[in-house]
Amino acid sequence: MDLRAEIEAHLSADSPDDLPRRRELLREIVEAFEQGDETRVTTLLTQRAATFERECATLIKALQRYLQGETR
Amino acid sequence: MLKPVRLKVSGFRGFAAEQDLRFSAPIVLLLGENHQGKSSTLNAIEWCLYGDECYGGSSGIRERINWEIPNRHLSEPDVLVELHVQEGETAFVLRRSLRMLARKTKPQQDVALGLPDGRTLTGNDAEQALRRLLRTSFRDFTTTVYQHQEVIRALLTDEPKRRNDALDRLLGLAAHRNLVAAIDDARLRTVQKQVVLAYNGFRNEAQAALNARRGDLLDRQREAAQKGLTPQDLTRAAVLARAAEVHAKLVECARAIGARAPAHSRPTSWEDVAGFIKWARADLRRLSAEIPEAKRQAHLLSRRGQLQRLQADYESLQKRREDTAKALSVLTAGSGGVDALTATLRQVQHDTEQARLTARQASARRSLVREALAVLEAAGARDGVGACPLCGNRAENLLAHLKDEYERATAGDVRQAEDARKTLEARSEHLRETLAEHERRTKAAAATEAQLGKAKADVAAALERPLDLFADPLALVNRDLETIDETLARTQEAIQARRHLLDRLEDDLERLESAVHFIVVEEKRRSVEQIRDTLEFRRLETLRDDLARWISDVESVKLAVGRDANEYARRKIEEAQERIDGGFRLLTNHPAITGLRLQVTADAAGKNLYLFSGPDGRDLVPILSQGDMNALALAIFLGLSRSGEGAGRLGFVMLDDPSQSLGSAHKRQMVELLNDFLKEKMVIVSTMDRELEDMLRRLIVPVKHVLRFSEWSPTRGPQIEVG
Repeated sequence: MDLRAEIEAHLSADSPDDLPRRRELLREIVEAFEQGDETRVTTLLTQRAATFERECATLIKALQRYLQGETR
Repeated sequence: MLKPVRLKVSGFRGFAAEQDLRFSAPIVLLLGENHQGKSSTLNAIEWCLYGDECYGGSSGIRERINWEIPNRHLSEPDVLVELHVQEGETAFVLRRSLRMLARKTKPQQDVALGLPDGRTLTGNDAEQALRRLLRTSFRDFTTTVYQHQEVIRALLTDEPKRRNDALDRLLGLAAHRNLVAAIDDARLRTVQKQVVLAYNGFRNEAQAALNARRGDLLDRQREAAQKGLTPQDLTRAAVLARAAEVHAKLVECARAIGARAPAHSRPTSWEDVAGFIKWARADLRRLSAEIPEAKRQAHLLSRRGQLQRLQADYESLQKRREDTAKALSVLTAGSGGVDALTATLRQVQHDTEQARLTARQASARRSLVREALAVLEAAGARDGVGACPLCGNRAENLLAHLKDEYERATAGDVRQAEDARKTLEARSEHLRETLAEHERRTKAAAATEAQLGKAKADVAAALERPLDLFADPLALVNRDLETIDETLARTQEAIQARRHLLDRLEDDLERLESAVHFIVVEEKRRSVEQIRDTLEFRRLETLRDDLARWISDVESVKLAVGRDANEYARRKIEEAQERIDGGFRLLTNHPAITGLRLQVTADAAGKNLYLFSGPDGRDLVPILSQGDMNALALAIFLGLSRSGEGAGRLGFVMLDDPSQSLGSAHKRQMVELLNDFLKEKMVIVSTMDRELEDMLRRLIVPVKHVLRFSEWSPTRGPQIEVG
């Protein structure tokens, strides 16, 4: 059974760029799943989301410092 | 179709020493209590066929996540499973082994496939040949060949979500369902919400800062307008030009005043302007202090103060002299002057001496008479009667009488003499004091006169001119003070003129400062406004969009998983619908169920949602018992295994503990269903259920091969008997 190939056939896209990106994401997810179990998929996703969250917090902190410096 | 005919197994899970099992009948019954190795036998067939696919997370079977293949009770747990399968006269031998090369290292797995022509394929070649031979995936194997007991157990639940989950697993969609759950567990929408919240929060913060800067700017604009500044003045270039002008004026002003020129040069850049305003102010204070007229003014004020003090001192001394003279005059008038006082004093002193003498004489006489009376008394002149020479009266005790009379008469004389003396002494003292007062006042008048002389000399020194005897120092001082006041008035005018210049420069500096303040606030406003153009803000926006796109991608993958699972489930159910319906009705024999229609839709999250309805379209779940649900699981499994191409070339099914919640009637019906099933495929049943065993032995029509499992021990494995 090729789980990835089966699911990939059902991937939808809003723009031509979406599909390759989504295929790659699916590959990562299925790989994580096959290397371990579903918790590894959750970990993969939460870690990536946390990276977004962290970078966002860092940028906002930098912008706030800038804002405070300018408005003092 | 391929059917298992022999299984050799050692070291696999519950097995220890090698066991050689023959499957020499259409139905094989694996009988025995729990934990005797029955399930391990089925697992051994499964592992031999599918190797690593049948355990771990990717198997889709939760219980297989930490599955151990080797028997953990053996010191050298090498694993060997050899499965002989046959299709007609064609036989294949599949051998899968696991060797422990060293502790704590991954065991080495070998696979070999013996072909009917005598050749043996190994490794990857063997795996590929095996896939071609079986023509069925592991997922299809789990839905059409091997009915796991966990699936039936999971289906026996009242909770729809868990039942849907179990049905997915029954259909081989556990991996899909687990994937969807894994994606949901990541709670990515919550993270996105937090990121968007933080992003919007910052935007609001920036907007508030911008509003504040706009407010500041209005204040600064108003202030600049009040100081007469025009919009043209409110640029960095205009401020620099104005600063240069102010600097030039400052230099000119210093020159005009005759003061030291400013030490700093004019500002040449915007960054210098604030510093320039600061030191220019300090210079203005210095110039103000260095105005020559101001110095003159200070000198005149000091001299005026000095003369005013001399004036006050002189006037005070004059007053004191007048007061002293007046007091002396009053004293002289009262006492008659020093000479008269001296003469009177002498007389009084003489009279005092006389009074003292008289008093002494009176006192001496008194002592003498006392002494005489004492002698008379001592001589015995007591009790004498006679006339008293003092009072003329006759006394019985004349001596005593005389004593009394004398005391009375002399006491008055002595007192009178003493009183006169005291009065004279007091008068004498008074006269002496009056004379001393005369002397004091006279001396004070002389001292005041001397001080006046010194004060006059001080005035002369202050005026820097000699004063003759008749010169009035006060008049001279007054004249000088008037001159000083006139000069001070003229100096003040000159100072005011200078200060006016400096004040105008101060006004220039204030305007300059106001323009600087405006420009600073304006630039701050602009920079806050432009914060959206910063790299960080652009990166933040990109990040927000990337996160949204990534989450959308994840959602899209989740939907694809759901769609695939849904499509697969629909297809499978459609293929097996009739058989499931027939099998279910046969198994349950439920009078209220005249038909079963199994449908699959998707819930909002894209997960499969299974509906069981009767011919009237009504939901059957509320009337199904646990036994019915177990029957439903068997009906679906057997239906799927007899429909479509799911089972590939495999002509057998394996039922593990199929009667978990079945009652006697259900079991009886199941045996009937198996009799029908056995017309098409071989069946391997594992059960500990004695009633089912009995029914299978009695009612299954084809020949049965019975293997009884017992006496399992960790190091020996099971004892297996035939029959």
